[in-house]
Amino acid sequence: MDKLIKSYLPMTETALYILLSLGEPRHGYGISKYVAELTNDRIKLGSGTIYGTLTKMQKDGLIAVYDNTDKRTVYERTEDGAQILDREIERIKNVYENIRTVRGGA
Amino acid sequence: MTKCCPMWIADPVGSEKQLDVLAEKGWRLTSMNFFGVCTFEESSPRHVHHRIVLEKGGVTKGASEKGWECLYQGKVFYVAATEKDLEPISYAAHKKIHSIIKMIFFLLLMAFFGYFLGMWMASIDYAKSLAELFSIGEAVVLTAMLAVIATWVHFAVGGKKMPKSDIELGGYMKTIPKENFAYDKKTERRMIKEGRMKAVLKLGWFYAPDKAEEWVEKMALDGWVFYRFDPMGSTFYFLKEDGPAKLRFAVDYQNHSSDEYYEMTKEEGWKLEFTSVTRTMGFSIWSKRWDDEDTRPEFYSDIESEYARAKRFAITFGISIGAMIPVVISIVALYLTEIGTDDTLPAMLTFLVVYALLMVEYLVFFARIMGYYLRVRKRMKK
Repeated sequence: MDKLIKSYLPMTETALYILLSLGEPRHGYGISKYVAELTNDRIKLGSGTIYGTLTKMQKDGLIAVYDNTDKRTVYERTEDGAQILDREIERIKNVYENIRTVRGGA
Repeated sequence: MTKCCPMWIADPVGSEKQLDVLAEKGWRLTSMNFFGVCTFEESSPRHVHHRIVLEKGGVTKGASEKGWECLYQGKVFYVAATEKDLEPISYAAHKKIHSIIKMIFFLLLMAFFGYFLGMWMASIDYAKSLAELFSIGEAVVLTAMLAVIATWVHFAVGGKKMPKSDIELGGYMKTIPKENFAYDKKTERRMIKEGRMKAVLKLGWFYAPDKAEEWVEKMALDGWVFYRFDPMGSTFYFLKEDGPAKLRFAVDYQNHSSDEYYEMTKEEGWKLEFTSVTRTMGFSIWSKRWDDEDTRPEFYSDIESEYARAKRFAITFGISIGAMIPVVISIVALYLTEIGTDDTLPAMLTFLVVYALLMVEYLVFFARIMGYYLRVRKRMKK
């Protein structure tokens, strides 16, 4: 786990959104559509980026194949993935609080 | 009952069908290993579809909900079956087996070819010194034996069974759209003469994929829109359009590209222009038209993934080509020192020229690979 934390944290925006979207089972194109919707088209994930990230995360056990009975493989987050995501959210919260302390207000 | 099917791994689809037939006869699979030894128990005859999947995790949640049950769970693969008429478990796992086997045979054939070439050259150049090690007769016998083994392996596993399975394993996913072959050869030649089509040969262009992308996109802006590749991917064909066109051209390199990769990218609106003939070179080339209202489509939306691709690319090709450079240089040096010492001068000169050209080619390719890698790294560090 420590090794995973070291290699994934702090997370890139791409990795964060992909992991966040896999709270429920989704396939690659589904992830891309969901992230674009969530960020009002600010983040349009490229195919190469999604495929590369999914392959790496699957290898590291952050996500697992939920369904392989379709041409499109469906993935979901694993326990390890959820832990890493929680750590990252904690980190972002901490960053936000530090900014509030320095700048004051929202 | 125990049954042995030693070559199952070369033809997983055929083996699955055999398991279907045995299940119809009332034999239920209980175990199976990599060497093809399968054990069965007697049960009631069942009409089921089997799948051999090269994954560790066993039947996935989604597949289990749909009605797939696990018959055998091994360390590296599992066998699943369903009575329902369901969408099959993805063949991506099968393709993994195939790519590994193909790679092994490719390397075997290359090793054999290299060995044969070495033998042949040595018999011309160093016949005297070689004779001290092997007699020419022994060398011929050894080479012939290797040739027989390689041919047997190729036909038994590679040539005969694999292509059949490969198509059934969803090879269609990699087909290039028909519109890329809208014109026959004759019409193409006429169009080239009339200046409506252009064919440009660029050897080794893929060692600097970013430069090629820029070039094809600039050609489109000049009204020459990419139309197709030749089967080897060295010649670019362009069609003349009335005005400038905006085309995003993306060269991708993946060590493993599954069906999902092609499916997903096509869904994103990319058109597949080329895939490398062998799986040992995982190139696929994509294009996408866009207009002023869109933002330029990106195949890699973040620099980290792009850098990962460049690194993957530089490691794979940098090592393979980089390793050849000292070999070729030492051969050239050897020829230079030996030249003119005996009556084999013409043969030696020919080899010298061939190796010198090869040396220059490798050096240029290596420089291009490293150049590409360093450019991406520089962008990432910004």
